Amino acid sequence: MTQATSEEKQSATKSVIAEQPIMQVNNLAVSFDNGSGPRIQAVDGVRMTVYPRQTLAVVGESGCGKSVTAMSSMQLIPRPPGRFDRGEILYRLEDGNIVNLIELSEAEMRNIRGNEIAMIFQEPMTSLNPVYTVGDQIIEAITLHQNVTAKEAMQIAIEAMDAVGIPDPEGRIKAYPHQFSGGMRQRVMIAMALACQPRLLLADEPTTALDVTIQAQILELLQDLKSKRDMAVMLITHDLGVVAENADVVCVMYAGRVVEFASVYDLFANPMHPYTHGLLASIPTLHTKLDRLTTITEIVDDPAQFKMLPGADAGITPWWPWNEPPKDLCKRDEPAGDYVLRKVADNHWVGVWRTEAVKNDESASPELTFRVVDQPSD
Amino acid sequence: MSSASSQPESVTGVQLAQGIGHQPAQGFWTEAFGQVIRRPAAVLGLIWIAIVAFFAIFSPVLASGHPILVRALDESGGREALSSPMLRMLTLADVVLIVWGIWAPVLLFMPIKKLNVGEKLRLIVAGGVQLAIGVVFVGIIAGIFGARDASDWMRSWEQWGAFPWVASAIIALISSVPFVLISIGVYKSSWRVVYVCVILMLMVVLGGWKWSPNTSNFTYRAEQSNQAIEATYTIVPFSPNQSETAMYNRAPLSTPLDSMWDRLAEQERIKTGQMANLSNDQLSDILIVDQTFDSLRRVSGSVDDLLSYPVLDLISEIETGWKDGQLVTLLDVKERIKSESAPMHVMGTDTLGQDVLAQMFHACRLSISIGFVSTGIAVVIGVTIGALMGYFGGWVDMLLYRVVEIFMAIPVLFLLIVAASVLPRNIYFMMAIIGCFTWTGAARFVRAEFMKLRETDYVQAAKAVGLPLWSILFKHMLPNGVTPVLVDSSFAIAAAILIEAILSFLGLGPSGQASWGKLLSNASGETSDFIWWLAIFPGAAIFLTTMAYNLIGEALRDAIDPKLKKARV
Repeated sequence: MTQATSEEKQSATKSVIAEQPIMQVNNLAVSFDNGSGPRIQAVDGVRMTVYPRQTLAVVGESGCGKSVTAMSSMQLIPRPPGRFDRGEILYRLEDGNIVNLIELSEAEMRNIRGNEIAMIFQEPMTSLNPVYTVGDQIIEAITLHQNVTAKEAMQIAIEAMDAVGIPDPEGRIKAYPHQFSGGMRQRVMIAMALACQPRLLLADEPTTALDVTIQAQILELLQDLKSKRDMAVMLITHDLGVVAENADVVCVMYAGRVVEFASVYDLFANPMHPYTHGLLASIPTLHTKLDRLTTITEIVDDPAQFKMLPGADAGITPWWPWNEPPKDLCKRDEPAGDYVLRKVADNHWVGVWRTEAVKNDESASPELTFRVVDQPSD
Repeated sequence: MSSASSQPESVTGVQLAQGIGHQPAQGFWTEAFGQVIRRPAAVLGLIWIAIVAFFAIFSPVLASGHPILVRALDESGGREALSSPMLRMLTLADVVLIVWGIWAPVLLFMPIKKLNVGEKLRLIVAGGVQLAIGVVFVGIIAGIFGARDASDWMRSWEQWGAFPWVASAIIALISSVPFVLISIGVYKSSWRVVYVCVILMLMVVLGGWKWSPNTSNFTYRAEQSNQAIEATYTIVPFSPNQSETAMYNRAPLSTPLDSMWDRLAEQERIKTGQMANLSNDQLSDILIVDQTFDSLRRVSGSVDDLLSYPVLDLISEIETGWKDGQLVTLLDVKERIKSESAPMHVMGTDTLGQDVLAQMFHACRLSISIGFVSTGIAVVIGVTIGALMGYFGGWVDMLLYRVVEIFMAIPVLFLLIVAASVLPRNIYFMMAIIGCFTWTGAARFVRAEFMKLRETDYVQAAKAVGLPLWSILFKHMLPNGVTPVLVDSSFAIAAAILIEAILSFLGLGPSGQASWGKLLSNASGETSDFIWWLAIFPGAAIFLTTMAYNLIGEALRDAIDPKLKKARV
């Protein structure tokens, strides 16, 4: 009976909350101690927004700060050597209250982890504890967050394993991780992450270590679960094919900053930042015959590419750390003061130099008008 | 499972998926144990430890100077009341150990489908610990209330007949609370509660029955020779603390009659003015005279309490034989005496006339317990501190590592020697000191392992699930990082046994307790002659035990060391 009323309440507030972002990263800066040398600034001034039922894909090359951003929102950055320099990660709880994830105490964070936000790691081969059966590991997570008996937890675990497509879950629940293949282990990780019904799933390159067929299965599974459970997903990946298939919104990062943030259609149809353009240009297509592929360097080394933003005549230039800053740079006396995340179109943001033209712009986290249409959840 | 013959030699992945040749999952520890028992040396070590453990548990009913059964006899030799002094003299620890020692293998081999071996072992260990806590507390409380300087209200409480039962019920209740609360990984919680309650009831019954130890004296054989009782003894009919002054430093296989004969032979040697002991040829030259029997009756006085029949009757019988002309020389007397049966000291006696075999059996408990308890203390402290150092790093590590360094600088053996002169000579103090000052090895191993493990994906994943710190540290990291500690502790157990032996050898061991080291220390007697049976038997026991632990430790290390594992495959 109480369940029914709470469900009613949920569906009543669902449409309202759906308009609000579930997580918003504001001006996040994280640095790491580098022994005797200066600190390494892994991310600086990162801004991104995740909405319920959307998949935000974070793309960028290795070391650009994708994982650091995701890990920060779980407070999984080892501190020391890591440190939160600035910024906030605002998370909207189910009751509408907003908390700053990087300021929560360890005890408060434990309520968030697994329960509100779950994470899938890149490396399925090493992400499961070798000394326990997969059942033990899933059940521990369930009993931790849900008020259920061991028997009920076992049932939930079997259902979760069934949901991610593990055959014979009753038998497999007593198996050890070494008896599973990589794809199966990743499914177990997903089952573990989803068993507690999180509202946000951080998938840190969930398919990088898997072969293409398994990769497709896993991503399809994630899409399916997302729509079934009204979950938001932050998908970290290298693979633009994966992005095009699965993402609703894309955030392109480079050298610890966001260079472009847009809905997936806008981004693929009309990349505004030369780096994004380079990324997309380097994808081979089936119908054109090329001797060699276009490289990112060819694009970003072309000065003409940097003069294509709306307002380029006024001196709005995409931010690119390898280029000389424009002459009219108005560097603010703050970290990442030479950079601003500028809205260039609806649902489209690009990182630009803080030149004369955008001197007074205040960076804000992207606010998309793009929404995933309400899907009937079962 | 199908038999081995019907199994195909090789299967494909598809066949595996169809269930052909599918092997059930094997846990990490099961596999490690399987590897250990594949090595003959380790098996021998395990067998020896099992033997020692068997005697540690059952020695009170295998070697006791108190008869199993005593039947009192009336004047005319009619049978009266039946009693069992051996049962009466068992202490609470003895009884609890015996009950546990019988029930543990029964539970282990009982075919219960719902419990696997790991769960059974956990139940056995948890039950044992619960009982052990009860025993320790009963000992403490009984000691306080029964002390000579106890206050009046304590005395009046103690005089109350139901006091032992009530007190042990309270103690049992309190000591079972944690076991109801802590899950030991056995799923059905209701059954666990039932199990804890059964042990609780057992503790109440045993605690009430064996509240305070009985005082002992060994007059059974004197009573037997007075025709007052009939007695049945255990296999080794001596207690380790049963000292017989007439029997000091007797060689293996000697009896009180041997001792009596030796005294007579000694007198004869002095009489004949010989320097060395008389040989059989010389004895056959000496004829028996009346005075021989006077001497015999005189020397029999020292041993007549040790025999279950009147020794004077035996002497009269020999005298009658002499008068009949059957016995002529002293050699005949020797053969006649030695042909009589008498309780035999199979491994001889020590300088206090205590039976060596009984002490060897009873010392097993000290050997097992000092090894396991002191290493257990060391592992608990070391793992906790090492886990904190390795997981947190930074200033926690810096600070705690200084503590480790301080403790590493303390020489344990010298500390124990000093402690022996200040603190009571008590086995518990010795265990505590060894445990509290040898944990640094475990701490450093765990620290190094945890530093590696905290970066691993599954620890990150465990954190991401939101598990509490204790679960991450002790449930997810420890089993993966405990193996070097485990290997190290099997060597530490051996080292603890050696330390105890050394201390006992120096005369600083626990008092009032049989110990191999103490026996060994008697091997060079006061006149610095070498008493071989006091050197060989306990020395061999210490040697075999330490070697057994070392063999097991080595096999364990080979079984779980990943580098060696790769090399072997």
